[in-house]
Amino acid sequence: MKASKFLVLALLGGMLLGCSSHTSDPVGYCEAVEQAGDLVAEKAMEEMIYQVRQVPREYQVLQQLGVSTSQQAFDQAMQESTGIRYFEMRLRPRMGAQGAAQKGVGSQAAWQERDQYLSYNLGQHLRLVVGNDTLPCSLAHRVAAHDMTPFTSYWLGFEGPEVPTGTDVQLIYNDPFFNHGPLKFMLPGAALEALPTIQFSES
Amino acid sequence: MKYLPIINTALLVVVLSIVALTAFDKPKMAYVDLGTVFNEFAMQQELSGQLEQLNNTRQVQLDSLEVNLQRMASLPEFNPEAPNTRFLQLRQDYLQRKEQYEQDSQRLVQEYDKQIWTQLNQYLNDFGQKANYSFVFGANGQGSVMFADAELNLTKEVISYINERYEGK
Repeated sequence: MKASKFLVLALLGGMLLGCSSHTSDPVGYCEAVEQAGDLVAEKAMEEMIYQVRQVPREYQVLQQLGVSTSQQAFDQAMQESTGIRYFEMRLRPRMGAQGAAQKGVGSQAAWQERDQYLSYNLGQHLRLVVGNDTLPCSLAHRVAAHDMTPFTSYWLGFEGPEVPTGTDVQLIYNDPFFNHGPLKFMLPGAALEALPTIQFSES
Repeated sequence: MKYLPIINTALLVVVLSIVALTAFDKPKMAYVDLGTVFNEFAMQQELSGQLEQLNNTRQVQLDSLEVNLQRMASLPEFNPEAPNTRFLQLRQDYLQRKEQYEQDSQRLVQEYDKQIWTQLNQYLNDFGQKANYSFVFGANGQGSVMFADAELNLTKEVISYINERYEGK
């Protein structure tokens, strides 16, 4: 009888723990973000693979301040970046070791034109649909890899009104170089909600 | 004689295995009505709408220029045998714009069609692989598929799938 009571209590306790939102220290939070497959949307189109990852603002702030930052500094940086949504986008050819800048390029002039576009103008062809708003890209920073990686990577930022957490967003890239037309990526808000809450140490 | 049931069972197992293997080896086939798939593809509808909007805006500009030309031509001092320089300039501008818009519209139609077919082909390919089809035929009413059982018609499923994929889901 005692054993069965204990089992019922343990089960209830487990259920309660399972329902409560989980917390994590900054290091654990960053690991959770990096391992969360739900944050990523991918589309393969002919020879190119396009990948978009939602980057939570908390993660972006921790990357800037470092994981050993204080709660106060973290809260202040979060306050300053209110309304900005961050993403990471990767362009990768399906086959071969060539990067997006070199793929299918026949001349030095064509390479320069594409490289120029990838470095400075890609952001013009990006939009983020949040609720009824379509936001232009306010930050498109190409991560320097000096053609050492088979993919071209970007940090993207979109500034707009705050929406309730859990709202799905759609990123649209109207790619002019590979001529695939508008490529849409649906990114679920639930994936952000599933991440742990950051718990800073008391010290 | 006492081995007869064992032999019979073994034979039955072999026959059933052959039947099962033959059934599983059959290539999985289906067809789609390509015209319907193309017309119902959300990307096609979206780009057609954009093109129509652009053409309408340009048509308004051309209509406005045409009205100006007609108004000038209706003035009492207008001489059709020797139109003035302003009229000639306007008419040239009108004709140039008209030709440019027509060319640009044709170029856009071709570009959009290419983009639409690229995405459509990719999603159809993904659909076939995901559902383990060996063949998905495109019936377009021009003789490529002369007859097919309606049960093999996947048009609705494919439209739903490609539209979801286009929206990024």
